[in-house]
Amino acid sequence: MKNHNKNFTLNKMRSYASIFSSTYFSKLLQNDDYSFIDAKINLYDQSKIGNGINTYYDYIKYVYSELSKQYRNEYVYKNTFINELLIKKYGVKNTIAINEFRVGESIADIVLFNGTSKAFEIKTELDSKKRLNGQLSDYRKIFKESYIVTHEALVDMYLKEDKSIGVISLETSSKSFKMVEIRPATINSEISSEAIIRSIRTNEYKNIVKEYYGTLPKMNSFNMFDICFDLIKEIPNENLNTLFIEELKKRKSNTVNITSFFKELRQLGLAMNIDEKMHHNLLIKLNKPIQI
Amino acid sequence: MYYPYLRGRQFELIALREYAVCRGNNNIIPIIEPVKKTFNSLKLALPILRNGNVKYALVLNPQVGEIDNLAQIIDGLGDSLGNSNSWIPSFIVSNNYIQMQDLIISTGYTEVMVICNELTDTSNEDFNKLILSEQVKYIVVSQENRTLKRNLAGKNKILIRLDDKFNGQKRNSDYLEMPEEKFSEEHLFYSEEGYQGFSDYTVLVKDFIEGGSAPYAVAIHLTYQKENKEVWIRHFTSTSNFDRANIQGKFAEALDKAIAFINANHIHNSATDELRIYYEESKYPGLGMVKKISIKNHLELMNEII
Repeated sequence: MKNHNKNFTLNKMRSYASIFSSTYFSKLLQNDDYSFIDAKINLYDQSKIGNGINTYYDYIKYVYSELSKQYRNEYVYKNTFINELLIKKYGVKNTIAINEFRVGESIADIVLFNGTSKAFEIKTELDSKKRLNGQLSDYRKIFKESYIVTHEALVDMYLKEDKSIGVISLETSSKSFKMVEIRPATINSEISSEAIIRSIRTNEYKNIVKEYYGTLPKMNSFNMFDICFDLIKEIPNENLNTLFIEELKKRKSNTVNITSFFKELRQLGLAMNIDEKMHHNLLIKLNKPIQI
Repeated sequence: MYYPYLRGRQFELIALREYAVCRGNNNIIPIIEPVKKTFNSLKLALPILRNGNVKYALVLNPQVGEIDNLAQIIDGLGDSLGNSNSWIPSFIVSNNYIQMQDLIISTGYTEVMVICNELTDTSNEDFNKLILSEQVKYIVVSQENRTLKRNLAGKNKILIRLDDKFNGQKRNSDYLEMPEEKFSEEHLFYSEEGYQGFSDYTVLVKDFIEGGSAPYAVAIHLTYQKENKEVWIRHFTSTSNFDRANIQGKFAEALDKAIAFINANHIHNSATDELRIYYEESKYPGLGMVKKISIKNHLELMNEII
């Protein structure tokens, strides 16, 4: 019986976790489709409607707090990261945060560009550290600092993993979560021009060449990658690092507006690059009373 | 007649538009399944098809994509739908034969097309009643059923055979190792096998897959006719498929191979000539255009050989 309850709770939490999906929220925004939330209410929480939970936002808050207590998945970590570190520590004014940034074979969970570049790899209590070494070695190719964000209970293990890596701890003992930097990252002295050109967009590597050399060489769309690559290889490493950071900071980002979003939905807002108009729209939709 | 089955997405519709203005005689009636709630691409394409005297079948109960019901299509298209002799109202029937019959009658359309899916039992009595009803003119089936053919004989119906001919791979880079393959011989035999038309999903996979991120590889799929009249396909694929970078360079790699082939085989149509222009100008047109060219080449080929 006990085992059965455990399974039921786990399934319920997994089901709750699926609510925080950009696909579903896009459907809600575009098609007024609440079915992904309604389905969970029907399955688990009908009795709560009218008892403290009236609007869809009330329900989202409830689900988020349940996940925080019982099933701290990547979404909870990322969202806490935004609330506790990005907003409170790093600041959002001159920072561009990007959700999921591809480098080589790996995808960094969150990356930040301000005066420097930082990659964050989230390892929740539910994750394994299987791919960690490959991920870290990919991030080091283009980021000055790499961090692991993990639960306080796992900090010691990750501190031993790799001495150059920064470690950030999610502290869940108090009611409101905290994120604390346990060890700063060692700053990476060398970045790879090849990894950079392979990770950024066409107009971005062209801009870097133009910025450094003052002009773009004669090229066509078939050979421009090779020509720009040869030129980028010649840029001194420190200059390339600065040019790379400045170029990435031009990406369209809603980082600066993130504080105006619902606290529980900031990670979704970042991942979907929600602008003020969409956010306003979402506000109206989520403040609607639940009708089941 | 050839009835290529296409989803109403931007580049599929551009391929149809360009086909409609470039060909001579038309032997093609495309079947279009709308998938987007924004109808801009369809609104542009349908009048061009009509002006080119390319009749089209439009699925009014799409089974994939964003559209929920028939009213959305009718409202969304408005005047661009055209009058009833320029297009064929079409319905995908599953195993809900009586419901479909009611739906078709409720629309008031005549000479409609009924398209069977995997769940359709073409021996079912209600299905046979449906297709023999006066509103239904075109029947698209995917399985051989000789009794059905016999039942339809002399009833002035058009029976169309739909097959999934494109051997789709999970990743574009998988096409690199694939040799040339036989694509179809339906155009040679459909008529003697008792069909009035044949259909396939052109050089696209049957399943509707939305979105997707930048691929590791670029593939240009070109169909062509062999000396024995069969249609074959080659998949000209990029070679440096290690990551998502330099899609332009990968297109150039695939294009080199495609150009060598079409030049050696003297293949000239508006799709292959477009490839030659990109080659001469060293220009990357975007992945949507690569898909468009593959479709357009196939439409022009099929139109020419049937």
